[in-house]
Amino acid sequence: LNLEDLIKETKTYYCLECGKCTAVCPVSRHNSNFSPRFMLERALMGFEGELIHDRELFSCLACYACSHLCPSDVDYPVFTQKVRNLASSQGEHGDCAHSGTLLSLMRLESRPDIKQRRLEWLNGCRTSQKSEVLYFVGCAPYFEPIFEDIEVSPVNIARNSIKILNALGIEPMLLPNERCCGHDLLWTGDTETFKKLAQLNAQMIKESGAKKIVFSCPEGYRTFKIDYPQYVKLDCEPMHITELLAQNLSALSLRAKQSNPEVKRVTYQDPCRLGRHLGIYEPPREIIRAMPGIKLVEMEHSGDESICCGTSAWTNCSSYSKQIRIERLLEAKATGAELLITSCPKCQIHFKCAMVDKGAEKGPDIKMEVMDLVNLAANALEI
Amino acid sequence: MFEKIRKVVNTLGLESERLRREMIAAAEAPIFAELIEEMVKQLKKLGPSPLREGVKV
Repeated sequence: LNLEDLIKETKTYYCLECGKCTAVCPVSRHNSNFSPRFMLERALMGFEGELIHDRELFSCLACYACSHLCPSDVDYPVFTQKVRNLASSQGEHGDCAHSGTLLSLMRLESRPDIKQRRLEWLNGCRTSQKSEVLYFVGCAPYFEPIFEDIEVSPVNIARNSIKILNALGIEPMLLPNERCCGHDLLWTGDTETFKKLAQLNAQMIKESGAKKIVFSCPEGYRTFKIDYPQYVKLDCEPMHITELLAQNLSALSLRAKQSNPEVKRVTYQDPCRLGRHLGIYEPPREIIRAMPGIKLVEMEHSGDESICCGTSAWTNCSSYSKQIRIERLLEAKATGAELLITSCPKCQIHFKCAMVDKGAEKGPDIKMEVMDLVNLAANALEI
Repeated sequence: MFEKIRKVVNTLGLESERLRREMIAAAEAPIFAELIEEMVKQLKKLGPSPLREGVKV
């Protein structure tokens, strides 16, 4: 891979330099050192070194706000992904949050000989050894201890996802030695490890005989749907749990919690991977609207105009990321909603992180309840 | 923090003996040496870690 090829591949040469990308970019809004337009310009003018060694190369959230507006259909996020791949071969990695722990764990999962104990939280969930439906757990078992301080429980989202599948008459199978999907490694330029993870997962899925893979994490879903087919052969259809649930709403009965007879106002954060990456805006909203006792109110920016939660791939998390989050939470609060719903565990982690930040005490009040749509639906299911 | 690492190491499928936390004062060199020797012995008994690439166990 070289710069010239990736310019062709991402249609960067169509760039009109109109600057819509930078105008809509949530990072550029706060961080004037970062500009998608400037990045593309440098690539087109052949300033490869400057591009690769710019620390802001790793600031892009791959939220697709830019490409969504681009009149020339330049795929800026994929351009970034490929330039990062070039950069990482020259030793550039961006600033890793959490001392790089999370990305290290993902790399460790690429070792072929490991035998993980990743399903210890499963007791009580109805699963089966053989089923056409496979539930992809994702990072939840690793995130659970790491983010317990900020009161996010990704494992609970996994449990509730299984509960929802059970309510639909599905007892899914799970891979006991499932690997990380590789999303964060792919987007930070480590394509080599990403390929290893993809191959390990594809092999296990092939052996399992699954026909459908259900995800509760939009990143895993995007990775399987868009990225895996470029590297491995998958004979099954990936889908997000909100799609499955929305399709089957009539088969389920959702009820209001009796302890909470008043109508609750809620708002919805579109995760970038589910929204602009895959165009899934309606299914989550259909589910929310179907729940009695709940009123959905939209934020100023919603659907395809939705604003990212501020960090991606545990890289270059900065004061700008915090500012993005604070603004987004203020938008959510301005709706008068008492609950912010999302369908991505990482959105939840990032929003909660902003709320517990020591600096947050000095700023405006951004505290509000955040919950995964899966948890909300499982609570309301009559099971 | 140690508790978190312990859980993560368990999820990765490693033996719990591979991780240990001890408090040793700067003046306690013999204790330090003793504990390290003990741990090395224990690790040798466990064999190579599955996280080491290219090692077949």
